[in-house]
Amino acid sequence: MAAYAALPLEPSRQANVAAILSVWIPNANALSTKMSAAQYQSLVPATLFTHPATPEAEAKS
Amino acid sequence: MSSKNPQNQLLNLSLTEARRLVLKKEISPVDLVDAALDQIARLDPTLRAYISVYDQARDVARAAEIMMMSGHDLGPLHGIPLALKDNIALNGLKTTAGSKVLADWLPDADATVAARLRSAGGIFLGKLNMHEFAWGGTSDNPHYGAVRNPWNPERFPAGSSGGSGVAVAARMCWGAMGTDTGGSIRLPSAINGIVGIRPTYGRVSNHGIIPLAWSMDTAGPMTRTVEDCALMFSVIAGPDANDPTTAHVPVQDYLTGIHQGVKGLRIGVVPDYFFQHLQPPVYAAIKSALETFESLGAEIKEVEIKNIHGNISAQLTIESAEPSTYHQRWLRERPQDYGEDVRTLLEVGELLLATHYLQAQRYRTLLREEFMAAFRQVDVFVCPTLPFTATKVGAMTVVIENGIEEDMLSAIMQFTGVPSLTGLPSLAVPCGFDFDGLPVGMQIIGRPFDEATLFQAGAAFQSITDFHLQTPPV
Repeated sequence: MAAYAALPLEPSRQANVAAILSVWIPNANALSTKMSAAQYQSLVPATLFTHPATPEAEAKS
Repeated sequence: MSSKNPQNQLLNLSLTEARRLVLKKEISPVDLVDAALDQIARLDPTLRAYISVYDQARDVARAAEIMMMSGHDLGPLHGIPLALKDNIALNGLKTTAGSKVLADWLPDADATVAARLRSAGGIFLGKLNMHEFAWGGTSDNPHYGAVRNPWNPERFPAGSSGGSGVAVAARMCWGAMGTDTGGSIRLPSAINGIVGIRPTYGRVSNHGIIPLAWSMDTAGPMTRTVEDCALMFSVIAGPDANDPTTAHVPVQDYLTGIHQGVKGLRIGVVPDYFFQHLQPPVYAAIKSALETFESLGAEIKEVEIKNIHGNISAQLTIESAEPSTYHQRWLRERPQDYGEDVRTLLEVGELLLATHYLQAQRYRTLLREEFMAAFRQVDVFVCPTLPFTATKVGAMTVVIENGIEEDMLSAIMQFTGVPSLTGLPSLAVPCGFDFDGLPVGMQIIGRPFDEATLFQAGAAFQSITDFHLQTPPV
């Protein structure tokens, strides 16, 4: 994968990187599976709030 | 720190008290700056909180004194010595972000938050040590030294704003700026026994701050009291034409109603997440804090957040992929200039899939919707800031329960990740000590742009507790 990303990764560094990825990627895969469920299909990424919370806005949630 | 020493009496003043005395001309900004610089000279060789110290602060203080004596009040921070995390740009002054990569970088403008603090009369004492590029939670910096905890210098100060937490706790400034992506203001606030706020995403400008993860980065003040935090926050909050992520939402008055109390406030707790997997003293301190709120007239309600599990993976994915994007060129051109831990995390971040990143971003929307729905039942949430107290300097693992060693990064962000992902504001407030005298902190999480309620709740808590008045033994 590092080669495809054009990321020089010497053999001495591969073990450390692989150790982290071996934990993180299964968890990320599990989250991807969860978020692929039909019930979440309409969710879009949104990181900004554009207005304060109001009872009306909360009622729509 | 004996209170018989006049200089120590100055150092133990809260920012708000110092402001009042400067305004009444009972103390001079010169006295404050001298006291802080002496304290830095005494303690910082051990604590390593500062990367740069500005002796020219004395000249600025003399000018501030002259202005005050001639009736010119620059604003709510006139003559107050402050310090900035070293990822916040100051015009013409070294801004390293705790890195070797930027060791010689001289910005050509102030960051917006720095400019606003300066305009309000704040005097900068220097720039504070941090985890390299803010990508980590220990502040064990390979280039500028490991920051050490004033409650026990063998223990870590957390991070990434570790220098900010230590400088405030050890009375080496009256207020500091930190930045918070996954917990970097709240974690060192809790571990050093001080107050810090992660604002609503978009409430405070990030312009002129070296980014970690654009979609979660925030900046906020760290102080000893909630009132001090609200005062600094009122100076920096608000839209900024230079930062397109800032929101055009009116800024609240954070100070007028701060002492109104919490009678009738509905406090949410999520027992099956925020009260699991804690060191016993942390559990005891949070439970006691909730009882304190109840005694003040607040109502505690249990709330279910169905999809809260999964937040750590989302947090790690986003907080890895975005920095790896920012650092892509440097990682190829000068990889040897990074510390080992940060270099490894940047390499990891390049190897996650785009689908992982985008599903994590979509998860944020889900988590946010659940919290917004929960705000129909409650006004704030209270939970621990992190599940453990300060570990030894250099530790990469932590034991929370049953003698099991856990990876530091995942463990430390267990509770701070939720506000980071949802974008909700969160105030860290000291709420106890463990058996070794190390501080414990709680988070108060609120509705978007409702920092005023957080300050109100935190101030009510501090009105009948004295955790924030304790002084570290250094």
